[in-house]
Amino acid sequence: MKELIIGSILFALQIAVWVWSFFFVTTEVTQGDVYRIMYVHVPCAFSAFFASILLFFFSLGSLKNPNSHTHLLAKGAAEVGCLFTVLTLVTGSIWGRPTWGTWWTWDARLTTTLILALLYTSYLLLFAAMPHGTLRSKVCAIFGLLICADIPLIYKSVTWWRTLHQPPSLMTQNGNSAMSAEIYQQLCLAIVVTIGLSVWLIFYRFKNMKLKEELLHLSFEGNRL
Amino acid sequence: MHDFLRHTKIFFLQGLKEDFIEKDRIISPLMLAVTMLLLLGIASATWDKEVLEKVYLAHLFLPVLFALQVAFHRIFEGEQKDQVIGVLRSYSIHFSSFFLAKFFLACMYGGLVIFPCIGLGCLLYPFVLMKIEGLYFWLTLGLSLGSLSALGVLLSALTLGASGRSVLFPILYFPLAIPVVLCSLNAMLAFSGENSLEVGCDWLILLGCFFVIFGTLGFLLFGELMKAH
Repeated sequence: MKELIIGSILFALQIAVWVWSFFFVTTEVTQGDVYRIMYVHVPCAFSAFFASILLFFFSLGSLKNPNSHTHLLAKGAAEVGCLFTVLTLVTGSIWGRPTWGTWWTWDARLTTTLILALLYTSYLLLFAAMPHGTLRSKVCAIFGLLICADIPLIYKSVTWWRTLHQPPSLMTQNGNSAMSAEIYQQLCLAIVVTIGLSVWLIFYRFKNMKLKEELLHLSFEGNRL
Repeated sequence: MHDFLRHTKIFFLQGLKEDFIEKDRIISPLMLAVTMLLLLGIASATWDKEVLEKVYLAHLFLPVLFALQVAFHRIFEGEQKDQVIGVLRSYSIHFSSFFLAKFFLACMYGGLVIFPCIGLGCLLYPFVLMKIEGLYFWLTLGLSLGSLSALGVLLSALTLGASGRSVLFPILYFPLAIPVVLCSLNAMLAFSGENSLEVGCDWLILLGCFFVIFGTLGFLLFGELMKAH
């Protein structure tokens, strides 16, 4: 019950942030109202990266103790990470059409983000293909660690390559933001709320998977008797 | 340390012996790479030289990448056929030595695919000979082969117990191999250009990081995988 209340509050906050972003925040000078999709796109990207960081730590925990349920947390992180990566790509595509004139380009940031989506999908396929047990926990944990090696490449791609994607503007190299104060604050709020929602989704999904495993275990024990 | 090296040597020689009996494991990837390269060469025969100078590296890399995927996927075929992996657990061996032996075997197969492809590439794209020179080119090639080999051996071991392994392996392999290929291609393009040594070295360092990451993860975690199997 407590989790549902927290989830409802987070969803309500998320909707409130979106409504405020789409209707009340100042319009950006260069792009006009099109820029407002940034309040969905950027938080989704940050949530996808955050999910990969959680995947890294849960994978380490799962390797250390394969008999615990930590592998389910890792799987939850992969599922939520996959969801937010796909949302990032979709919203980025929608934003790119009016600004760059194309739905898609083989740009550094877009390509490396697509690779991340493929990696999350591969993780989920690997999890589904392995039989239940400690082997699955270990194998998926190792793959989870491999996925995290890709994250620095994605994040730094806009500085390492000359790309269509805009360079970092939340915090530039001299530590300042390239945005106005109002837009910056609203964006930070959207990022915090979306990350909070993604963490809640991971833990709620973990709870469901844990219940499912326990039911499976009980039904197996019942059949055996 | 002495035992570790001895085990590595035994596993390497045993793997070599197994694979020379089943020559198909060496010949199939090579034939795949050569066929693809020939097809690409024939398809691009009428292209302008300026266009070819930009794409020849991609034409070389693509067949090699697919061929290496086939080679790595089959690297444990001998052990699976003889059901050796389960038996190995009862011996007090260093599993990291097993990984190292397989890594060297994978590098060897990679070399057996890459060098004929480079030779064929020099015939199909005559200007390539002028660009393939210098320590940096071969260093990039060595690091990318090492990274892909470490990754291939680790993923092959990961998928040993999975159903639909032949479909699953490429799905896992290609997304992880792409950053390595990107770094290698950018480094080689920089080294074959003029006044781009600094840019090429940056890419080389990143490639080196991937080699270290994949090699270290494989070396440390391979034992866990084998024990679990």
